[in-house]
Amino acid sequence: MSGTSCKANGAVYPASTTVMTTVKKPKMEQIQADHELFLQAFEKPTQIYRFLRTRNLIAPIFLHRTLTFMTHRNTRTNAKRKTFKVDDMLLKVEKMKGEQESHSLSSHLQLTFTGFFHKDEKPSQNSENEQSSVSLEVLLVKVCHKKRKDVSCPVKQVPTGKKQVPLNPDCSNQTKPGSLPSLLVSSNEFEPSNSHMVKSYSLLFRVLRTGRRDMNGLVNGEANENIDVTEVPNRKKRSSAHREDGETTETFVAQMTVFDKNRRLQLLDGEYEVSMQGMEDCPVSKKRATWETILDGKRLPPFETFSQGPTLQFTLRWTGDASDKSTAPVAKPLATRNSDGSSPVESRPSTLKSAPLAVKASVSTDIQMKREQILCEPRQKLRIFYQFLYNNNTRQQTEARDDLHCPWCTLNCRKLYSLLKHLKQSHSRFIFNYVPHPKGARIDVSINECYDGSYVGNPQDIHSQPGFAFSRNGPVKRTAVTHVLVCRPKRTKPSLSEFLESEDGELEQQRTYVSGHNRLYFHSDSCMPLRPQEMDVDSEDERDPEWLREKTATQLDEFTDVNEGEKEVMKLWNLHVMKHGYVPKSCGFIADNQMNQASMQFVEKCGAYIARRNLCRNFLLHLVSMHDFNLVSVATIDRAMSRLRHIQEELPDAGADDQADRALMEGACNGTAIACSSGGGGGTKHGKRTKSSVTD
Amino acid sequence: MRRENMSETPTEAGKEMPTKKQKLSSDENSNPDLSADENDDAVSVESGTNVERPDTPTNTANAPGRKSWGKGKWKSKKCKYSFKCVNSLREDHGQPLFGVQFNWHSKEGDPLVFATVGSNRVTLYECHSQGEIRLLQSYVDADADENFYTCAWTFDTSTSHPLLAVAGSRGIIRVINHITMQCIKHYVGHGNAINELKFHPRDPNLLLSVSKDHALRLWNIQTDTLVAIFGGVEGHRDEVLSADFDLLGEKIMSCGMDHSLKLWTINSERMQKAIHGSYEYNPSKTNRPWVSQKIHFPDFSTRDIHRNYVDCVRWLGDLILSKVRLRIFLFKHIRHILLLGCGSHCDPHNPTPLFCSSPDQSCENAIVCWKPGKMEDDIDRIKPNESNVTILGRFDYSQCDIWYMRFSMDFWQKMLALGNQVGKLYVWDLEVEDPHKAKCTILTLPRCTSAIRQTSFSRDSSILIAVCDDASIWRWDRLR
Repeated sequence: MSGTSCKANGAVYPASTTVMTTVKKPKMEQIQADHELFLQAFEKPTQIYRFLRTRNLIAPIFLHRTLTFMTHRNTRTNAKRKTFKVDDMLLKVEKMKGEQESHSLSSHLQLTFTGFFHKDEKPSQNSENEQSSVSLEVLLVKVCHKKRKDVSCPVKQVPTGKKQVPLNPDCSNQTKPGSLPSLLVSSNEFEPSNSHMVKSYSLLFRVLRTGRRDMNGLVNGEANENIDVTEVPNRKKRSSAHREDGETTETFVAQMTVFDKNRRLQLLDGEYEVSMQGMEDCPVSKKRATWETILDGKRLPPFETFSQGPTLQFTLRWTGDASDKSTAPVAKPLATRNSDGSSPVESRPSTLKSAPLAVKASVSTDIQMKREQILCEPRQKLRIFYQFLYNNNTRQQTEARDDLHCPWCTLNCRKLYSLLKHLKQSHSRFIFNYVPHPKGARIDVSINECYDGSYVGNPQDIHSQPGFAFSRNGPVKRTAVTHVLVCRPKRTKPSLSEFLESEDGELEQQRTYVSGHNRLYFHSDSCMPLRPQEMDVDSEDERDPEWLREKTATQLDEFTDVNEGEKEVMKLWNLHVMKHGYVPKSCGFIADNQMNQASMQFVEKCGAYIARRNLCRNFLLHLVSMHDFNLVSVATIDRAMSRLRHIQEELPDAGADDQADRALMEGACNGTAIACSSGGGGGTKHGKRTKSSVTD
Repeated sequence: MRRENMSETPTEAGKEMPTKKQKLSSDENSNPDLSADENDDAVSVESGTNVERPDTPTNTANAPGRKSWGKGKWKSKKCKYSFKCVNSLREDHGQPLFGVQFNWHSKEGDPLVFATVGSNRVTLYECHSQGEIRLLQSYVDADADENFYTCAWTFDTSTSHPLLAVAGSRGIIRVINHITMQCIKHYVGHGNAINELKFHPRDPNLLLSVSKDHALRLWNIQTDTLVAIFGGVEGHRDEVLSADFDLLGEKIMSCGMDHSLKLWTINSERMQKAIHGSYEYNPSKTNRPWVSQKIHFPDFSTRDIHRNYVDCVRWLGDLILSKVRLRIFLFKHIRHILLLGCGSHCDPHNPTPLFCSSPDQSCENAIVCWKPGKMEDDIDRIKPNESNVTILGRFDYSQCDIWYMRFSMDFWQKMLALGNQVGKLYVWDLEVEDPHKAKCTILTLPRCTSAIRQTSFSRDSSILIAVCDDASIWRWDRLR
């Protein structure tokens, strides 16, 4: 269907680049320089907004109609919600189903042919032989589902009728639509047939153009005849079948899909111009599509089709019953635009333009009225002058538009207030100032120097793995974080005065609305981002990190003038002080006078281990050396040793608590515990006090 | 480019030594006087080697010593490998290419794909017959200031798509899937530039990154967790420049600007638990944070092999190959071979450290083959305070004064290739019984005069790719 152009969809609005066009100035160079400056200022943001516009059309992140200043874009009312009952849904569906059945029986696909256009390269020699019409045959092609035995998809062709279509009719004198040949295809044809599951339906247009005046085709009367033509899977076969013997017959064909394989309606109401393909000249093989560079002036056949022909023009309508209510949605140029206003070169008559929108019976009449109002609204021509200020606001260019469409994203705002609000909110790379104008409005556009392009969303999303946040491949579980979803600030009454340039030049309005706690934290030890749910776990909580414990132990091991028993007590003591040390919490040891308490705690905690390892005397030596430095009193030594002795007596059999010991030691040092049964008693005399590991 | 800073002296880093080490290794280590001392002569096995050594800074270019013995010696031992340059191309950015890696995970029969990194680009090429190099894809980092230094290949364990991890000056690791043409992962966490990336030889999800922030990190790219950080108290004291997993992936050897080489075992119970845990951790199912292991204490550390930036290290079985930047004020020429006797004749009770015999200059401009401890020691039972190292062999080359020049080995570790700063390629045959007898081929081209930063062999060893500072890529095909 590459050669098909849909007129209805082809109502291309003026491209936004019109914004960029310069006002003509006498000097060419000056224009050039000026244009350069203009582009410099406005090109990049405009490109960004054009991109965002397209993306928002394809995959919107929000709907404009939900914005408070765009409420008029919302055509639904919530009035029915109050009376809603769940049972209604079933009734509604049942009703719709019944309706559809009765509906479909009576609906038709109406094709009204405007003409067949074909400009010959060489005009006909004898003008009297010039024919005024061609014979057109329309076939409905049903492509059925492939069954296992089939090599290719079975194709069914149903002729729907033959018509005489005017050849190259003069476009200037408009003929009435009624006089044009038209064809009706019953929608019954599109119902699934029993024999074959039909995959897709398409219309095949076949135009026979003979050199003679007399036509071989029959006229009228053959519509809606359900004749099953024998399956002809091969196109070549078809073409040869239509070769008239001896006569100079040219056959042109074109095919258009009505319903695709997903049963989606492809042909909406509208005017169509179909490019036809001659059967004689071999068509470009589609399998080998290549990219080509278009050179200037070179004629490219695919682009010439619509000016040269052969093309077939027709109007397509889905008609309901006898009444002219259309049941299918009208193809609109683009969802953001209405069909009113500036329509491009529209030379051919159209019955479509005034076609009412599909109105279901369920829609209440007042909504319909409202809709009509909306449709009417922009008709009061409001001229909007965009004045682009650049080069430090010293230069300006003016651009006028007759509608309330946003020049960047072509959104129809319908109201001036909405337009201004939209511009301000969605295009904050610019500054917009509203100036009242006798003919309408003037909007001063300048570059927002204060625009902050940095990220204003959730910083967690930046650090999450790519494709996780804002995934376009489907739903993902996102980091649980508080987002502001609904915000109801105090709203002032909408008034255009809020867009007027403020005198004091306050820039407050340019600030983005971010509220709440919106920061990302990192683990201090690994620099990895902290997830919000991990906030309660403090990674810096440890006062005696493992590495420090290991380090003290290894450092003590390096002493050569301290025996193993002493080393072990020193390690235990150091770890004990370290664990409770530095941070005064419950019993932080930060002062000399706390050493008494520390000694007693040490005995309680490590007493059993010391006793079992036979390190009591080493511990005593340690207490004595502490006493020498006036850190502990004699009474403490006494108490500690008696407690230790007590623990020693209470001690069950050696080895029973081996596990507890191991646990203690594992926490204490890097497992270099050396059994020192002998070191307990005798080694004390080697100890050097200066190496004592008291942390004072 | 910072990598070209040739005049930078590493003395500051050299003086900053951990106190413990000073205590263990005696004073000869910190001797700033760089002239050869007696010890050298005493232990050098080969006599006459010292004679050749130009040991004064004044003796710069074209020392006669080189011709007198070096060339002849090499010539007499014919290397069994020979290469032919079949193609070269140049990337248009003109910036140095710091890394090149062949994808060794590709299926047999598939075209050989390699990736180059440099500037803010990652480029993938395909090698075809007749020397054809086909450009496949190129990725550009959005940040123009990014400068990729390194890349590493792995594969996705579920889809078996090849994955390429790249990293560089910004310290961000990116994982690219070139089948889907997407950057599928990124890891932020390193405090500075990343100098090398390596994947675990047996677990394709474990990625090791080596950074200027003095630490190494082990990531699990399947669950996006940081398994461990190697560094801290006893870790590197300067930029870590290179690291390598051993063949079984049980150990990591790292090296850096602090002249040291450190061994970190990852088959310890603690690390194995951490790796297991990283696979089981599911951030969407738990609110508990993932706790990375902080490994502050290497299992072995030495500063006795090199006296300069160690910018490349590779395991060769249980042996280690490491390379150092030449101290430019000292040497510019081929050094001698120094093969130290193995430790068998050393009295274990009288530890005369072998490193005494490798004085300051002896390991410059050479790749050194060594092992921790003595010859007979099992590397898995090495003690952290082991002070001995055994140097087994040296591979000498010249004109490689700048740092961040990497050597590479082929898949079977039969060949060793290194480029120098004037575009010469040295290829050694490692398949000799005695590392001392490793034979060398020097590949030169008149057009290739820029510093060769890295080389890479294809898996079948048929192609050797070298990348240069002038953004050029050279393809050498093996003839035999």
